[in-house]
Amino acid sequence: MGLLVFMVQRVLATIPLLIGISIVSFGLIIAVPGDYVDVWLNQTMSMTGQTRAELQAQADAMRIAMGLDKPVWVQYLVWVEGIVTAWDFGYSYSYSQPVLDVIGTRLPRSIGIAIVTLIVGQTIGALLGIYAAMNQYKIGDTVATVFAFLGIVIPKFVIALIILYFLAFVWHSPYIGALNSAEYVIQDYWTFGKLWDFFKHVWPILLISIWAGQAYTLRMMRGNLLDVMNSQYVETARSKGLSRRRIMIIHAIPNALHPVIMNMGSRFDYMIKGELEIAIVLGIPTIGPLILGSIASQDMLVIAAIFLIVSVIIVAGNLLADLMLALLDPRVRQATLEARS
Amino acid sequence: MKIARSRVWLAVLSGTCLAGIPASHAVADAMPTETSLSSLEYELLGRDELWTYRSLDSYSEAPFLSDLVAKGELPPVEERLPSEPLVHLTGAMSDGIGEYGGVFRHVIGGRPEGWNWMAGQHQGWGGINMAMQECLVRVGALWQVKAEDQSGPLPNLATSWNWNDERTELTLNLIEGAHWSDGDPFDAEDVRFWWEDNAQDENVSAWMSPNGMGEGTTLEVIDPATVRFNFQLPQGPSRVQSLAYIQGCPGPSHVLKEHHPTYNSDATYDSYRGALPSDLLPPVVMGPWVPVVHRPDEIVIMRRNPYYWKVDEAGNQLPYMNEMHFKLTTWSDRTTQAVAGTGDFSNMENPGNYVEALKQSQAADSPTKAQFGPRVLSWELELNLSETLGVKDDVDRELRGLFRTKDFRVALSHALDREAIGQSIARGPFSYPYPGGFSTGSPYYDVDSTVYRPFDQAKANAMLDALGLTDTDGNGLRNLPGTGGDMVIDLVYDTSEPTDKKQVDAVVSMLAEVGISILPRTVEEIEVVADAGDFNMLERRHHWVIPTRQTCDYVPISDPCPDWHRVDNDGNRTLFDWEVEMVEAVNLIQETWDPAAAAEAARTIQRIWTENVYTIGLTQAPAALLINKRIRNAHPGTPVFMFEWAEDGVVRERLWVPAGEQLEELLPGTAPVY
Repeated sequence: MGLLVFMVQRVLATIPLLIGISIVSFGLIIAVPGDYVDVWLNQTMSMTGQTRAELQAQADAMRIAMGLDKPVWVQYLVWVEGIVTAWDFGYSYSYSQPVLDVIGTRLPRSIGIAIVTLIVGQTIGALLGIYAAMNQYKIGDTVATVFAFLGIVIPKFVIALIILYFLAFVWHSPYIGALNSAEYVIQDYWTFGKLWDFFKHVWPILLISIWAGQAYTLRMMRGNLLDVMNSQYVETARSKGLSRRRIMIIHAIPNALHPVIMNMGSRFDYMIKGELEIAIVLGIPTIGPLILGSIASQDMLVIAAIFLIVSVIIVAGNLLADLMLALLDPRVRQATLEARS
Repeated sequence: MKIARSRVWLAVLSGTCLAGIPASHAVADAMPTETSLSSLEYELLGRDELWTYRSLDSYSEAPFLSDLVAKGELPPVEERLPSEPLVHLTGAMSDGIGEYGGVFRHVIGGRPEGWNWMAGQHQGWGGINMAMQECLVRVGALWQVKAEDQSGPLPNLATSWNWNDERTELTLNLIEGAHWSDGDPFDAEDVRFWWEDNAQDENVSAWMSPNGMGEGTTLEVIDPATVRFNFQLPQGPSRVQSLAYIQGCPGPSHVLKEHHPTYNSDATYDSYRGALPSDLLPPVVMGPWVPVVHRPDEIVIMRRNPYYWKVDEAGNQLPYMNEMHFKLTTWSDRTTQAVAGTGDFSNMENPGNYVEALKQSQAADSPTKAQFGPRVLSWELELNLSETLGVKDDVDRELRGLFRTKDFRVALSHALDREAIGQSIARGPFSYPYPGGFSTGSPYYDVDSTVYRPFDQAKANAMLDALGLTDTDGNGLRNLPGTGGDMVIDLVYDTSEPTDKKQVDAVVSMLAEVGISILPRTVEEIEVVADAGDFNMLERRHHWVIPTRQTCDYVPISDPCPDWHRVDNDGNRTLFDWEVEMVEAVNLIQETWDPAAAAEAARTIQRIWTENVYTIGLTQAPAALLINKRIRNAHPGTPVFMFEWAEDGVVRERLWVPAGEQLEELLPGTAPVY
């Protein structure tokens, strides 16, 4: 019963949070001077050579059709009503598609890339951390540490810019600015060839994200393992005559790995953010360039929807983690219930 | 004969009327010698040397179309073409008659809104609109025409036109026997539908507004190949330009009528606008290519229009290239992909990239070449000349009074080292001082009508002192004589443009040298600020190259223009006499049928603008066309923008690639199927 009450309370608590997030995200977009029609006007004047006066009637009609002539709070309520009653997040003016279609195409790419880089990055980081710890103060340790250090200190967008320079200006690579080459874009099914072509387009994202992502894990694993290796039970095992290999595999590494695994959850948003940053520089069509482009074109419903959806994912993730923790540890749910009473 | 393009313009437009401009106005300081870039050298042609309409002895077509004809899926090419097709003349092609096949790859940041351009939808810009739409007349290729033949737009769907003596009737002769891409004949009914049911229907947001051809103008269908506009008042020659892209491009009436509320009681104007969504393929077009695949956010693939109505002199039906791609990415990605060789075309308008682009272009292994055109990119400072609009306090009021004082504007001009500003945006020979008015790449620029106030810090200081602007509190800044405060001017500029930022940085330090503090204010949408008149000083790009286009943005021909001297919210504005003179000159250009008089009026504008420092010019530079080296007939000197964007100016239907260099088509052997 206590668990059920706890769960209901936590779920109910997220509702005002989400409402607040939706208001803030919508308000932030509206706060910027001008609107999409102003952007359209400027672009169309530039593209067609027509004057503002010639296009004004069209602009006025667009504002009415898009509801941009209405007060902000009315626009907000219409948006929320669409989401609640019809799961309609509105229409992207610059992409000429429903917002959900635009985001729905790109968000899974970002999440997928983030998951791959998270798993691979953490694995490489952990292995290198083990290697560094086992070779403390030797050349291998130094190389691994410098490698990790560079991954941490060099901004990801700088590495992306350097790679882009080589791809475009030096190698004249055909694999830039897309997820697939044109011949595979029109191929509706996946083949090994399409997958390989995909990899040839996204490897810079994977490389940079994995490099940056493994660095922290490497440092953490190395430190943890060194601590564990100096602990009493490892000394005891050593004094009993167990081999070094057996001590590491059976005793030291599993214990040193715990904090690293616990940390993986918090690394996920880091990987997502990293993916966005790199994709913007490289022009890879994931959620990053979409956010930037939508802000530039004041395609406000896209931005507001991204903020809201990402917030929901984070809130849901936290909620799930809380529930899991409460399920496993009665002290947590008891403490929460007492605090509320 | 190869001749320098800019010199031709100067020779003609200077003309005999130059004597009418008082010398005292014209030459204060001479402009420095302009160094041209090598790609400016090319041959200009007569307007009849670009294309003509005539019947040829025989015609040929892309081989795969012959196969479709053999299978009975298409009529023979002779039946698909008009009796007298538009013939692109070989003399206008820098690499001559081409070979069939291959792919042309664009990269664009836009996304197709839908295919119903008649209802004001765009197809994604960046050349995709222009690949589908054909308009009654065409202006993009006018840059290739000699000045003495600049008598208006070039023929297109309208093969010729004539005016009555009173200039109140314009009769257009349409091409006969041309077909839409589905084989339906193009005729006067398409033009009537465009005019009456779109342009004149206020419920349709057409690109041509109801008064776009003048108030009360009507269209009369004379016969299937002839229409006539009847005007309320006599018109000038520039009126025909309104029939060019994007306003004068008819859509397929046989497709659209059934969706229009006038012909279908179940239809609404909303449903009409969305009647041809971007996933409904292929749309019916008159252009050289037809969209056949659209993967949202990824790519639009176009295939050649088998009914295209233009040929070369050998009778080859155009276009030469079978396929056109539009990769849907971002605008900034366009240049990256052009340099990498994964895109074939880009307009480069960021001088900061020029040196690297030039180096890349000259490398043997580079897939791309950079063709620099005339200097049409220029930047300026715009001082708000309104006495009231955007004025918040006494300091603003005093500043506006200074802005309206010619000596203050002249002093600021003398305080700016334009050579240094130019080098800050691009090292090397790219930049040239911009004194205001028309850029040197404009056909209407005349050096002898240009008054230049070069860098002279002592003179600037002396002029500011004479205005009573002295440093009374010894803090290094001049003080305003009225309110007594420091001379601080807010300067709004677009933060997204690195070229603007570099110039603003230079302006800030140079004006600080003469005791004026500039307070930069960055915005992302400078037009919003400009539109509201809520600024004292703006820095931005100057786009005015042709006096009959974007006129409202630069001359006070009506209340909301230009941004730096708009009518305030109470309807007040005090125009200078010389502003009124500029308006009269612009009106004369719009109305006169005498090219010499138009040239004289353009010189008058240039003289008045620079004499009075209407805006404070900074620097100017050429734009460059990045184009893949395998592409032929990309004419040297094609401007990124002059009469129209380069996508039209380069005349894509005549581009070709030698067979051995052609890229593999994604949809070989296919034609649009309806």
